[in-house]
Amino acid sequence: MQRIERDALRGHLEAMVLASLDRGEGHGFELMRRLEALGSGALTLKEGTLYPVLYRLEEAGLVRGEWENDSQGRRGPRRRIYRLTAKGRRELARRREDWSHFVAVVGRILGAPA
Amino acid sequence: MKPQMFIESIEQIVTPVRASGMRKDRMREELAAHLVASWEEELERDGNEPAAAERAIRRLGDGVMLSSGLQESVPFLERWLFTPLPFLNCLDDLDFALRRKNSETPLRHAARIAIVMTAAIAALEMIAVPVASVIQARRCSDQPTAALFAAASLMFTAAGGILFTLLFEATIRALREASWLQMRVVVCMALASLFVIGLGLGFVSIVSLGGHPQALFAWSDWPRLLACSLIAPPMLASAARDERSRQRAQCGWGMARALKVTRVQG
Repeated sequence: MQRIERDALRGHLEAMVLASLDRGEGHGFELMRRLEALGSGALTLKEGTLYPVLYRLEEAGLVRGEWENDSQGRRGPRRRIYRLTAKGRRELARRREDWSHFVAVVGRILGAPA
Repeated sequence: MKPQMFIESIEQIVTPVRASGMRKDRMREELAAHLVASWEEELERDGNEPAAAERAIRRLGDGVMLSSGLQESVPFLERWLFTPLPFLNCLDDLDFALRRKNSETPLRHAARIAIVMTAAIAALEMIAVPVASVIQARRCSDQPTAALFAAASLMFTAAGGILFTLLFEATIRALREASWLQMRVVVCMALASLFVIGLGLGFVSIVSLGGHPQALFAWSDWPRLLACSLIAPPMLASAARDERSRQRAQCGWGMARALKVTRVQG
């Protein structure tokens, strides 16, 4: 299968993370697994790249992160659980629309042989 | 497996980022949680702990690129505020020198802090007291002499330094077991704040001797001073949070326990 590398994903990663959170809340590692599963193994992401994206989304108020409760009995570092905010949901809807439009326009151009 | 390898990688990524300590601690702990989860996954492949750790770190990506990515996620104002300045290194050195050493008991640490604080106040008073005495002499004030106040403040600083340090230590210990709203934490914080306010007001009394002919302060000064002193509780809360966070980082956010548990279960 042809792999999709980080550079090709530039600009789309934020929308992909929002879409992944639309399926339910999750911590960084879990979101990464979800993205890989949704990409059916074609996505090649360096795992650390997810965190700057999450921080930017949180700063913009599109997602909200909370530390998991210490009392859950897990040992080791705490995980931060992210969930989509109402603003994030609206942004995701807008990006989906933009993407459909982009695919339709560019698809028409690329798909039509001269 | 020892978590040192992970801690070093995390520090290589997070240390260069210009951001508040709170934000950087959050980055550190999240990356630590991620590395532990990756390591557990990698370990299932071949059971080789060091190799699994190396693969987990590699999966995270290039450190320099990650640092720059994290830097871009920091708001501009915060980035600017936390740009390292050369003279601020002195404050870091001072902070490091005043911290409790691993081998130090709380009482010994408190005594050391009290000695440093008393010496610092004494040094300041060596300048302030002669000035206050001259002003007093010029006004022929019948107030107690500046030297008497200075001696009293030194004794108060010494006692206050010990009690404050012990209370601050108790606040951090209480924080480890409870949240900010627990009674024990609130009481420790309130008492520690009172000591800081008392020390501040005491020193202001010394340096302002001779300011008013009949009283150390006019009545109108006190609300202003008390309003200024309200800065003490949030500053202490922030210092306690930083200290607790530093202690968590020092033990690798419990990574050692997590790595050990995984190995036992494996």
